[in-house]
Amino acid sequence: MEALPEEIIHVIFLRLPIKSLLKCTAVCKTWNSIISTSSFIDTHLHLNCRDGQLLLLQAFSSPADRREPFSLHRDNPSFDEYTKLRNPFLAYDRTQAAISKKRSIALGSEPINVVGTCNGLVCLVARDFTVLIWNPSIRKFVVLARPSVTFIRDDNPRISYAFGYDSSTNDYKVLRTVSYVQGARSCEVEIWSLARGSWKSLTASIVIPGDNPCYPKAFLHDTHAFVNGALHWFHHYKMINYHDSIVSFDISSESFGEMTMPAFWGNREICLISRYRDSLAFFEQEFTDVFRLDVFRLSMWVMEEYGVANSCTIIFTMDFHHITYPYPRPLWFRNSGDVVLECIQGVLKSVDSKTKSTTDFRINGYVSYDFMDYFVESLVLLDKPNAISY
Amino acid sequence: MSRVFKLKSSDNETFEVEEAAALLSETIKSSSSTEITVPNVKAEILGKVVEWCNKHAESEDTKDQLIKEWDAEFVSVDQHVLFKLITAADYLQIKELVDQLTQRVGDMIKAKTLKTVEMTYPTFNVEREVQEELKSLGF
Repeated sequence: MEALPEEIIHVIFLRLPIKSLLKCTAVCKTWNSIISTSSFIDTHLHLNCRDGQLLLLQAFSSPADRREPFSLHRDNPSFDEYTKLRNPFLAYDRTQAAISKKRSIALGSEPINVVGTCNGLVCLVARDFTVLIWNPSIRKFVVLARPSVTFIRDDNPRISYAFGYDSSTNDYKVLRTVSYVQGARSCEVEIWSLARGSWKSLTASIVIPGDNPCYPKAFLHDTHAFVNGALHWFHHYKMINYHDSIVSFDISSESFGEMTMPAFWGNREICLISRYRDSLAFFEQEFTDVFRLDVFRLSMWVMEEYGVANSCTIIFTMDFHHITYPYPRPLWFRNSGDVVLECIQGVLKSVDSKTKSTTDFRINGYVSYDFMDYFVESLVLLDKPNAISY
Repeated sequence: MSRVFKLKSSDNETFEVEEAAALLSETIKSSSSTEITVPNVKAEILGKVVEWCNKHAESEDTKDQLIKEWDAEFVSVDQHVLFKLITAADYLQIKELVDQLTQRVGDMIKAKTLKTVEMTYPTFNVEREVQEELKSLGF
């Protein structure tokens, strides 16, 4: 019996779904060595990622479900559940319990913040700032080392994270900022890369242009968008007048930049910055009647031409009457261009940005959504020996 | 006046192939001679490859439903034959045939692996049975 040449086996494997490939890695050493290499993982990802098929959800239908809030759903009219995902922090707790005898916080029972998802990886942050890079499709995760930046809680620090992919080096990076509300101390920034496996301080490289107050105020809010290979935060500050700008961080060159917004932007309250297709989008919220808090207006802007602040166009405006807290929150952009808002008690409202028509729907009886975005299955992390399996 | 190519199998049988069919092979295309010996490929297999080439040369529209059905039938063969066909098609560099054959192998692997997938909490322990079955695919 002749064996097939390795190039042919390689070609066959490239067509297989993740689940089959994982079983194939356990068949023999040759198969394992073909699949568990970064070049195969990368090629497979680019050949097979048909974006817009799966959604990652962090949601729950009752407080008891908070321990297992993650699931994948299909992007079809009924949002069928594709698979439920195990909370990786439960496995993390087990590894921690095995290491140290003293009791540590059971992170599996605590709220988890999803920083972002990219190429099948999900960046999660726990309450004690433990960060995991997780690939739910292959059930592996990497625990980030403790960062070197420390802070005193009394100074009111605001810690924020951002996650991005550096296509020039095929590396995944996590940006961590420690900023202070009072601005008494300057902001500290550090970056972690999967390839390097450690943190690197970038504090020295934050250039403070002119007399502008430091960037820290940009990082006071978690909301950020990864567009065009860069992370973006909205920066609203007052220096005599109100100013608005967008702080950007190029993930490849690891350098900061700033885009000033035009004067007409004025004193708008931007509640969210996000990626909409390949552009930057902003959500503005306002209470149109100063005497009432039940008339709420949500507007969506898109920067049509990247880098051109003047090209910001309003896409739609929606008024909500007789509403109470919590106010409608933009949650997700569909590939069709529709915007999905989370309304009260887990009702999702899909807004067609062109016709302004809305559709209310629910997914799986969830009453609260923490995160919702497109997800692709991939093998990234399969070749990392220090990744933990569960 | 199209040329006629002569393909010789490892067991010394010769197949005459019209130009249109023969040139589906990159190896033949870049060969200086019209007589090509295909090493390690027996007549039974070479004959099937020639059959595929003839069929694809005569049919102008490869997306045609009839030829798709014919192709599906063509690759529905025993594993051993399938692998020999891949080796021959690979040597002769007939891209589309290699694609169809490898797709078939992929489908077979998928069928053997997916039947044991648990939807809720997938396990990574490959059951002995699946392991043996995959190994039996001849690798």
